[in-house]
Amino acid sequence: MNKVRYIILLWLIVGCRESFIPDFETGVDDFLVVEGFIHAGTKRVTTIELSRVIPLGQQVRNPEIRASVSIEAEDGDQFYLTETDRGKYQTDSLSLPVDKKYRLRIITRDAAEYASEWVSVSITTAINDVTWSITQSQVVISVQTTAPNATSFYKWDFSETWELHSDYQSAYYYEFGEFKPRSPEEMNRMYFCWRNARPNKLFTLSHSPLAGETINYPLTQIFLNSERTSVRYSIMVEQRSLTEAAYNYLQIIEKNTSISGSLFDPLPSEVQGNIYSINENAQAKVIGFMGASTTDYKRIFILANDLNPIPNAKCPAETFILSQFESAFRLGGGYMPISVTFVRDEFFQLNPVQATGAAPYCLDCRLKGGSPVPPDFW
Amino acid sequence: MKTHSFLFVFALLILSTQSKAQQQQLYTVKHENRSIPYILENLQALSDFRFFYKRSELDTLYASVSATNRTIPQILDLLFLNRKIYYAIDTDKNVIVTRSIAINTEVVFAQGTDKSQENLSAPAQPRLSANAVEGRGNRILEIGDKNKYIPGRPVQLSGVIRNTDRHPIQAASVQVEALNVGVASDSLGHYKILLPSGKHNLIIRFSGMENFVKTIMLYGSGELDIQLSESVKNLEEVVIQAEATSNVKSLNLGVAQISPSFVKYIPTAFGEADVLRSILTLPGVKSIGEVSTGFNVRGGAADQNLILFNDATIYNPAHFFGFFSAFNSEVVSGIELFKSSMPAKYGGRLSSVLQVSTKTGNPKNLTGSAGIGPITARFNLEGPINKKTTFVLGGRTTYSNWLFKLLPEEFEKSKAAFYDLTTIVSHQLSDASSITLTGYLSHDESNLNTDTTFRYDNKNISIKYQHDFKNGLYMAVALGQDHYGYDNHFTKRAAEAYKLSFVNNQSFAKIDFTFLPQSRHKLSFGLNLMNYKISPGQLEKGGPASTIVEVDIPQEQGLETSLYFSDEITLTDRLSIEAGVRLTQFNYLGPQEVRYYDPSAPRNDGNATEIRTYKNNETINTFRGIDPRISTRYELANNLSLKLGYTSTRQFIHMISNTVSISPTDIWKLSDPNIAPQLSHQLSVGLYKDLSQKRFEISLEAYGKRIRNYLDYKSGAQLLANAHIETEVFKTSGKAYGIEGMIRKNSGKLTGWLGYTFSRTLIKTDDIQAGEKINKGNYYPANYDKPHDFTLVANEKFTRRFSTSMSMSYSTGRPITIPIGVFYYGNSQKTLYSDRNGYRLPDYFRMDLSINIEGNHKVNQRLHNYWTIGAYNLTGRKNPYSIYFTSENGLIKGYKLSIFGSVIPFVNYTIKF
Repeated sequence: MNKVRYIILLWLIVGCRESFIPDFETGVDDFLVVEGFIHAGTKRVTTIELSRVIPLGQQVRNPEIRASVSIEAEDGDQFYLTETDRGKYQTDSLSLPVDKKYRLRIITRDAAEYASEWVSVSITTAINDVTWSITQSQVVISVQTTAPNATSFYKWDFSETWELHSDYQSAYYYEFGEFKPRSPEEMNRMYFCWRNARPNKLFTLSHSPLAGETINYPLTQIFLNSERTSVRYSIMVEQRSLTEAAYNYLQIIEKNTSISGSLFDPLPSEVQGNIYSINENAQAKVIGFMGASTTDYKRIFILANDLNPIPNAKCPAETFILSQFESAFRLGGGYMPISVTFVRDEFFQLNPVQATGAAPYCLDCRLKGGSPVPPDFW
Repeated sequence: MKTHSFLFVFALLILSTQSKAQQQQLYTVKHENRSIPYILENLQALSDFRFFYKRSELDTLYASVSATNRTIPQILDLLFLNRKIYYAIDTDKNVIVTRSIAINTEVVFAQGTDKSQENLSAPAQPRLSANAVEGRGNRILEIGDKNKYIPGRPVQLSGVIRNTDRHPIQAASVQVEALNVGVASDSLGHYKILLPSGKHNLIIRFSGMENFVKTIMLYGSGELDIQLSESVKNLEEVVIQAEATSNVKSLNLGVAQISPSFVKYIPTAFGEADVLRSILTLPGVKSIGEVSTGFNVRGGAADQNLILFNDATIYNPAHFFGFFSAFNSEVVSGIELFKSSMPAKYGGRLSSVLQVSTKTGNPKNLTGSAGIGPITARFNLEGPINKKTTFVLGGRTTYSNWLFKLLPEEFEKSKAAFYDLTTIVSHQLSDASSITLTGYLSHDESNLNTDTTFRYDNKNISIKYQHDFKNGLYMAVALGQDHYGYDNHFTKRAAEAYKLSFVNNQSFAKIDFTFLPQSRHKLSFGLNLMNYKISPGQLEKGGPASTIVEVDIPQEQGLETSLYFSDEITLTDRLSIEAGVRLTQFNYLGPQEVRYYDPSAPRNDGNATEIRTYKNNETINTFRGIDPRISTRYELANNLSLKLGYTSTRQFIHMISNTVSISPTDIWKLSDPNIAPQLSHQLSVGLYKDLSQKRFEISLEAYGKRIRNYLDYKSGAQLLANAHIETEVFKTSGKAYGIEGMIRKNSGKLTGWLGYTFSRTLIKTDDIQAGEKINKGNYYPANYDKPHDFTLVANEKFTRRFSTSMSMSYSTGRPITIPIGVFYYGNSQKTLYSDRNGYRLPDYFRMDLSINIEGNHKVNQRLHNYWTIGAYNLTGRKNPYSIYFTSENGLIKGYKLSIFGSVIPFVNYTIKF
């Protein structure tokens, strides 16, 4: 990051940065990408995701479907994974003993066969706590654990879930020139939402006993005025011990991806995992490092009230008169009604004379990517 | 006893000469309105005097002369009375008659003795003696003892070349062109040249000075001190003397010299004369990018160049991450780069030697200069301390912080500070010996609005004693200490605050001899000692709240001992050879704990077999090597020569850097039981031709080179604060080859050069203990492999005060590694890299222009000023500096970055006093 700024500074003086898309075939070989780990311990589900490398500049995932994926134990036990989503393979709830060695075996639909090296199970130390603190208008969430008396390697995954509310409740909808009342259920669906997110970064740490007994690893920061902390926020942290080789592998992947263009960047490295092609087509290459470990989980909740949040500016609500209704509230008019003022005419009919409205995404949290259904744990 | 005959020539002032006894025969002549050549021929017929003149100069002049019983000088005085015709008479009764005074602006002190016959401890007499008048005029200088004259016997001519301020001039060329003999003066202005006794035309050249052209009569060995006058009136004369001696005549291959006076004509990004940028314009010298520290010579890495500032080794020769070279151009007197034939006296680095030499202080007056540019200010002061001691003090600093103030708020906290200081104190102990103290300090401290402060220092001090034994033996002894270290801080987040430091302190002792026996040999020999003490890394907590694990890697120590001998032999007039050998021993010394590894398995923590502990100064292991250095020159025809050279070098100190350029976090590591010394062999051949009376020099050189044990880095190598670097590196071998062509014009209004280089540099993994192979163990291009390179540097003098310089550079883009694809992992896109350096940046092109305006040239004016106005990257081309792919919000984006994406104008002002 430092280097990025340095380069950006130079660029501000005299330089310039332009987007670059290679105009040549970069030659994506048929790399298979294997992500996941063998989840040992009591009643655990192993999830493995298979995909293929895609050309530079593309954003569409290329899942590897209809593969046969299994976990093999040294003593011959074999556990099959089933494809639950495109390219996503899961076991049933298994209790894999931690004192055995395992490997992952994949047969793709074109009959190419791959296997990982045999790996023993890394026993993960327990999470002591997941805590939060406020520094510089940010909530910093950290995980604490007690380190063993030897160099240890960790990987953390987390998943965030938060409740969000629309700025206003919408009591009416506008259709065929008329305001019609919404049902209470629909009003709730538009007003209460839950969103979740996973980080797009790998969190790993190498810890030496010299650094002390406890690890306090900051996982993420949230701005106090962000949507995440507007109502209630929850984070589920998964901690996993790694072998040194697995740790180094992830480090290379992460370093290769955070290159800043300065001459002080380390040169990108090739990634060599521990999964290999085992049939005659030995040239087929695999990205991925298969490890086996137990895990520990911890979920915490943070209430907005505990944070003294900075109130977010609401969307502006505007008032419209009869003649403006059609242009404002028709489909694509840019507004959705919040409230409507009716006047009873001589026929005792209620006629709208004035309405307040706001942009649809201020009234319907689903438009912000929220789901109206709370998760099980909420 | 000893005979000293002191000759003094001061031609500008002479209008007549006095006669000597042997010239006192009397003649009677009478001519009425005859041409002067006619009269001279008549005199020649009459007497035993011989007259030399240019007929074209004199045959339009008619004179009448009538004299009775007069000596020849008296007759000539009468004849030339009130005419601007000058003459000189030598002891052989040769009379030179000329109307031209242009070649007579020098002052010559000649002292003739035959050293081989004389007592060496004879007291020095004042050089201006009563005999001075003897030498007046345009006469032939007599050197040596006439009574012992045997024609054709090898004798030695030596002396000191100075300017009118009595400063010694380094790298002035002393030549006798008819014999193809030439030497260059050393840092104290001394020169020694071996000649057959007899009459010679001696030419001494130095850029910015009037040429000294003199006929000498060499009876025996002797001394001739020469004073060159600075050519204020003569600016259209030689401005480039990029090679002091002609390529055709010199013996070495791949040697380039650039005079500091030409450096200022080469436009740079901020208009400041830049020593390192100037050598990048030479064929065979490349860099990674516009803003990068270091340079690459003939396929060598940036750490394979020995950068010497007088005798001191400079490890980081740049300021501000490579924007400026760390040498103050105002104190530099000579820049010499050895690309191919590395003299046996140099060693310790694989690719090249860059010798930057400094001035010696002005012994007469306090003088100096000061200059300002957009980013830096500099000054230089020099003068006498007492009659025998002079000093030079040069300094430079930046005030670029104002630039940051103009930038948006988020950059306001940026800080860039650097300075450098150079001090040279010289003391003349006696006529034959002197002592010079050189001190150099450069300091950088920049954060550029990042949270890390990068601080690094070069600190060098050396003392050199030079002695001339006056029998052809010349000695230089140098002692010194070099320091390079960095100290990077991060303090932003208390928990992560750290301080990372690296230090290399090396002490050296060198003793070098040059011996010129009375034969066709020139011997050089000496002993160099270098003691390295490296603290490879210390990682400390940056504050009490820091959770950084402190690491302190123990110091390592090594001793490099080199003994060299070389002989330059003139076999025939056309064939000469320099054969040398350098014997080197490197001892890796304790105290140290050394890990040993299974020799057949990858070198990693798991394959360590043993740890041995060594006591202080105990030899852990020893490397020895013999490096032959040979160059030969054969003159195929007049002004056309062929040269062949072989150079072998080795290097015991490795820069550990997994970045493309030298960065302020790189460390240096000594060879040890697990890291072998780097080796290189180079074979080169060259063809050199001078055209149209040496106004053009053409050279064509080809080379092939093998490099072994250059280090590359394992995937994801941890290089900082790592006690076991050997587990992160592996050896590679490389091959480099190329052709360098150059046409250079050294005189006239237009000067400059045009160079083209074709070169390739390929490396491959070559280490059974590597554990992995870059590009499957195949050859791949090095980061600085730029096959085609074209450079034009030109300076056109319009008037004496006004000149324009242009430089143009085109090269193939450097190789880069770009991803072959992306994949999803950890909920985001990641890049997949495969083959190293499989793609190239677009080609590079840049054109720069500068206009140089000198203040007026009134001779007695106290201040002289000098303006440089120009534009860098005149075409505004966006030359990509890098192409990179980075993750933004989980998606991989590609960017092309240019540092100088537009025209950069600049103004620079220098004042001399």
